[in-house]
Amino acid sequence: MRKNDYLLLLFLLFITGMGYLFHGQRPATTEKILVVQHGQAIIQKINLQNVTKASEIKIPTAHGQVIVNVDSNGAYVVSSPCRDKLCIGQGKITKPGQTIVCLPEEVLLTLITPGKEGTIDAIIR
Amino acid sequence: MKKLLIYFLIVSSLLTTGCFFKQQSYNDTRFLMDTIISISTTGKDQASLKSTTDEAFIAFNDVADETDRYTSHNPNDLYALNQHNGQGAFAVGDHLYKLITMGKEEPYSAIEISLGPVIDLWRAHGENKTVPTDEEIKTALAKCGRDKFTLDKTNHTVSLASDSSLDLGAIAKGYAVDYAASVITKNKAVTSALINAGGNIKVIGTKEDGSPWRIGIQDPRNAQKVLGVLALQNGQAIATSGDYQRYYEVNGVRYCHIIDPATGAPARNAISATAVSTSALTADFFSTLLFILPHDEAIAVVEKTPQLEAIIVNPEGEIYVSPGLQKIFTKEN
Repeated sequence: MRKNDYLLLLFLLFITGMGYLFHGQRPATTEKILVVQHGQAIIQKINLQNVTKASEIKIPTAHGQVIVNVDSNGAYVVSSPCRDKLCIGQGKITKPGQTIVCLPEEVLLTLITPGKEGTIDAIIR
Repeated sequence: MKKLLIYFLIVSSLLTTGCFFKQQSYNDTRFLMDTIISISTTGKDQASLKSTTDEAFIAFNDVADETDRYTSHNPNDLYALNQHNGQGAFAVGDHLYKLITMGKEEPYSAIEISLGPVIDLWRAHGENKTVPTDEEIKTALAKCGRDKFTLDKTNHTVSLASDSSLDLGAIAKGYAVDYAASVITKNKAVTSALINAGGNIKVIGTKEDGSPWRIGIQDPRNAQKVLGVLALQNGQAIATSGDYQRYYEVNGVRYCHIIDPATGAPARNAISATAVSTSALTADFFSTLLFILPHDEAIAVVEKTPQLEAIIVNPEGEIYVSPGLQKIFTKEN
């Protein structure tokens, strides 16, 4: 190898190293995504950063519809045709990993974040 | 030299973009056994992860169908057995036979799988938001007990007394989690997995970064908070029983779905009991047991049972953390 080849090799190693460094030091995102699931199907994924005004989403179910209020901070169930209304009682979810479940209507709301470092893998209920 | 540089460029590009060694992940969530089941897997091949997850769900579903006492799924399931009460020996499926055997032989009277009549009574009252009378409870309890069912090991049959019915709610989900986990571990393409069945979780393998699995335990009185976080290792299972997931209220009094066989009424000695073990079935069983038993007795069970750790919250909100969990449990403020 000639001297220039060594220089090129060093340059490439430097670029690779910088790539790793940049990748590793990327700040953890605070992005929150609301995943709305009915039965086995994911109906919607909503990036809460894009929600500028609180709004309601309606999820058609076997017994009517589950209405969910969504704002930039989180989501909660406003109304549901289920018997015990436990999903309404679960209140508002605001942190990644939190969920709201309506078993009778088979509706699941989950807050997730793309950057998982430091977060909880699952919550046992 | 040119070749060397070309190889180097390709490899460094792949490494920089993180494509070459990047683990794939796959997640699927379904409604089964009256709850939400989520299976997350990681490995090198997306197609293999999907097929393994599908197989695990099929396994889970097999157990769910066989142990569902409210709906008929196959001729040898729990629904069919309960319908056959008072009519002699009845052939049941393998999963069902194993679970009924466990229910018959386990040493704790606070877990009783023959409580079907009492559970049905509370369920019917729950729909009308009323409370059963003492007489109604006494009548229902008279139909329960381990003498109400017998097993025949040779023919895999169960005989159930008339008016009696079995309910496997305390153990079936844990068994299903273990069964699904056994399907996943057979596939070497899966390097790690987390099976989350609501109140039952099992972790397989280690996370990509080598750190422990972080499992939050829900605060029983605040759905938005966790009591704390447990750091679990490969093969560990965790189960929680609480009075906050399924309950109804009459005149401000909460009636949860976990029945104490001694009284025929909802258990009130704890508001949340979490058990950690290497088997999801064991964790499921003990979380229910620890929820039902008086606080001191529950702690005594934890102390004397090998490979069992627990977190129990009593009605006053006091939290007991067993010695084996104190280093891996981070309490949330």
